[in-house]
Amino acid sequence: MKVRILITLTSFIWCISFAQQPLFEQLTIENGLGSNNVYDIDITRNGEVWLTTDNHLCAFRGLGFSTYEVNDSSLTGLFLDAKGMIWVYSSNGNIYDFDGIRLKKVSTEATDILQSSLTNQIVFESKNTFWASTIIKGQLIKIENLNPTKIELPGESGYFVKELKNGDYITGTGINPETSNQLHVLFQDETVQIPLTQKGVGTKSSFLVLNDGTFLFSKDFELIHFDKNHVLNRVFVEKNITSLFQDSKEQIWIGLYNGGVICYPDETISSKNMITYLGANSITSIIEDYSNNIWVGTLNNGVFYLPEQQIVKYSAPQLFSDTSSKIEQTLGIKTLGSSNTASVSDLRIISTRSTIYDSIPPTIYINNLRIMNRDTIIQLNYVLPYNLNFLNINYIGFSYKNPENIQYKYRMIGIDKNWTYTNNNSVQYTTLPPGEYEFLVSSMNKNGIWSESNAKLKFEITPPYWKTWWFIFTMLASFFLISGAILFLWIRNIKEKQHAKSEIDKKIASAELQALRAQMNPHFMFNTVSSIQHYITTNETESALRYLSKFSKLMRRILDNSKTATITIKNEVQTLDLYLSLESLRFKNKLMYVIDIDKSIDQNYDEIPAMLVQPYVENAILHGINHKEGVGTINVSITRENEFIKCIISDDGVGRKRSVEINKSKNKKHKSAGMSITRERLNILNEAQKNETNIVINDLVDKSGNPAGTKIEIYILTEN
Amino acid sequence: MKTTAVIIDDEEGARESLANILTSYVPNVEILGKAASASAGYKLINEVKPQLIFLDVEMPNENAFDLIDKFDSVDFEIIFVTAYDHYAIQAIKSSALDYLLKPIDIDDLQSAVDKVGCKMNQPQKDEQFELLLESVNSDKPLKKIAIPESDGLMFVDVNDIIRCESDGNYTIIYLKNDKRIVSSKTLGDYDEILKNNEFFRTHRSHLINLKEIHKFVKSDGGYILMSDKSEVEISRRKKQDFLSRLAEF
Repeated sequence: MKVRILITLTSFIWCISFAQQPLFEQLTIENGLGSNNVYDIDITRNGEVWLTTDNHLCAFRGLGFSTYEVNDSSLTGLFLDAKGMIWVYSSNGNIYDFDGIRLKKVSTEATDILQSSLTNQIVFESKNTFWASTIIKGQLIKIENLNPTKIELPGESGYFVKELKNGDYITGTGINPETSNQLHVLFQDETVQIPLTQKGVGTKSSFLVLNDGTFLFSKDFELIHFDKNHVLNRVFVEKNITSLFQDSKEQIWIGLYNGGVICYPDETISSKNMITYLGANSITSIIEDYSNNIWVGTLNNGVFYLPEQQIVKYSAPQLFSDTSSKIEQTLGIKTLGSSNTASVSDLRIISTRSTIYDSIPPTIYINNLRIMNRDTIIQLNYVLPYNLNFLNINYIGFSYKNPENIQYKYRMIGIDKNWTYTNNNSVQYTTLPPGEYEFLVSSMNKNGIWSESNAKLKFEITPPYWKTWWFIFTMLASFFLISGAILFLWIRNIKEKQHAKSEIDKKIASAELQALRAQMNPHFMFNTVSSIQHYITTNETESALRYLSKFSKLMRRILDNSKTATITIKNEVQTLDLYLSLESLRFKNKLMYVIDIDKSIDQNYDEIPAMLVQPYVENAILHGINHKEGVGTINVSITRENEFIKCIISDDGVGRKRSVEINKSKNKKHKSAGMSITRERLNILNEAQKNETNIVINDLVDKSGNPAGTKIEIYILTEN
Repeated sequence: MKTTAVIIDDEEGARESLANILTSYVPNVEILGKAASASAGYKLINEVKPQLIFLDVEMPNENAFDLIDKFDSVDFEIIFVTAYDHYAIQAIKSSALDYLLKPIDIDDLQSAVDKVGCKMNQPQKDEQFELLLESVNSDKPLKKIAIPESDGLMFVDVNDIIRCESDGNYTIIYLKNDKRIVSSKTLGDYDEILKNNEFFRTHRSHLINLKEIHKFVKSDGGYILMSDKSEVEISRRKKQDFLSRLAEF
């Protein structure tokens, strides 16, 4: 009755939630599940689905979950005993019984032992008997009516122990590294040793008795199907196996860690005959309810529910009778359905017989190598250029007894750190970087016997020429050489420039000092002071005052202008005007002057070196006008000619020749310091800016060809 | 109506010769007295209340500025007299005040006295002297300057000036808030007055406040975009200086 209700209810949920034929329905925390980490599932006879999540026991009664919380967040498994009692155990050794309302911690000598000695255990029960295994020395503890008994197993039992049936045990070794990759099956009358591919202690293992009485054992990615005498089949799957289950239709379900579920629809376990579900979920347990619906517990994603009609292969429903197919946690034990447990004394160990194995190692060949998708003739060594680095390798193993059960491992030394186990007989390497490689492949028969030697291929992928050491070295060397040379030349050039500049600066500075001295011409100064004296003695107070103030203004200007490298033309002209007006006071009525500034000149902005023009004016007065009879005129004009400022100083004096003659006759040795200083300064200034013509001197003549003065043109480079 | 004046100078020769020149060449000035120190000058001014003071900048003990500082409110004009003091001249110029250089030039003296006569009744004297004392007593860049306009003085916060542009012998000063002042001084004068501030002469016609540069556009020979969106030319010759000035700014 209740079964029917569950079917109705679950079908109802199914109809509401999934109209478009998805395979699984997901039930999560949103449906009332205690947590999305489901560790174990069990079904009561009245159709209730019980689950353990982190710290909840949950019951699904068709519409939603009832949750029962306990102060223990590591609930891992639950078990329904024959009386319908629900027992829950946690990975830290606690056992709880459930009275229908709450979970009660069972506290006995047994749980003390579990809590103290079992570091990673699973407890199982048959009626009122628990079995527990430890990972230390593979101890088996039988807990009957909550009274513990330690059962010592013969020989070197390993890291997991399970009772199979009637005193048959299955153990794995974990102490001796030499034998730790052996599976020991201890039957009452004999012992079977099955080699395991992976060594290792503490990894996941599962065990299942199939409906036909054969056994399925998994550890890591390896799945071994065996009976009392033979290894029937051996398969590698992609991910680590966490749980095994066979449903009522004989379908075998493999739960994977991060890999979903594999279903082998019939009892043939092979890669061609499989269906995968649930993507990359981490599966903890798989179970079937009494309505033949499959329940799958996962970490993080709650529980998945596969309605019966969705299962691929349909066969007549059978009653779910074998509780032994319940899934367990890692390193667990479980009992089979039988309540009869054998005593330890019944165990006998019989040495392994090779006759039960296919003991002939399979042979292995590499039968095809394709480079860049083109077939090649098989050689032992390949030297390939860098751009032929796409390899397809096919290999084949031959086993005479069980040709269909060959498994492989391969490894490309140089890029693979470990062996890769597979049942695929080809492998592809794309874009191998330049280097040396050795490809090894080996095959294994169903009994775990590996071929005696590996098949090998050697590859050398040569680097492209621009990656070869000599090319890189040459490039680097030439790069450093060239950049070094450039740097050296550059630095030398800068140094030379700096040197030249500082030389010029020095020259300019000293020329400026000389110019200042030349303007403070003692001859001119004392003559002026003496003129002032003259006005004082003749009581011409106003002339004396004007003369004096002009003189002081000129001195002030000369001092001020000597502080800066350049001055505005306005300033220069004003200074020149002061000078000329002083001189014209001296040469009473003999000197006239005109200063003319062209419109192209911005007096307030255009600048020229200070005190550049004055020496020529002075020279014109002293040698041109001074010797002339009558009034002499000095013309100063400033114009712009391209990037030059052009100063023209012309006089209508006696001319240079005559002046020299007069000076000779007077036996006067005149040295025009001022002019040579100006010339030098112009040379420095203009040369620094690449000019040739600095000063042009023209001797003027009148209509009849007589000397009529001198015209001097000074070119000063500026920027417009 | 004669302008009443006193002369304050520590050198007797300078006092006497200025007095003589005034008597001979500037007859519209009446000298009410002479003082040989700032403190004597202070007494004299309070006593005779002159319209004009010829004040020597450099005097022992207290100088011209100490003397001005003693007055809460100024109701007279000052013509400073100095032999050679650039620092003081800079301050005097920035306050738009007058000065004479020694030895006194008759023409300069006459035009200075004429100018004083023109602005005798100008109302902003206190502010002007305050500005003068401020700029004399601190070595920091100027905060404010006095800008002579056609109808008086304008006191402008230096930080409010975006740029100055020359217009012949006048200068147009562009301020924040889109104001502008046309000053009767040349751009060169402002270049000189503001030489210790963060100003740069980018071009014969442009003096800009470096703090008000919005960006420097390198294309088309380069120009400067100011904060008021105006574009300012930069001459080739100044570009290098400008860039290095910006770098240290």
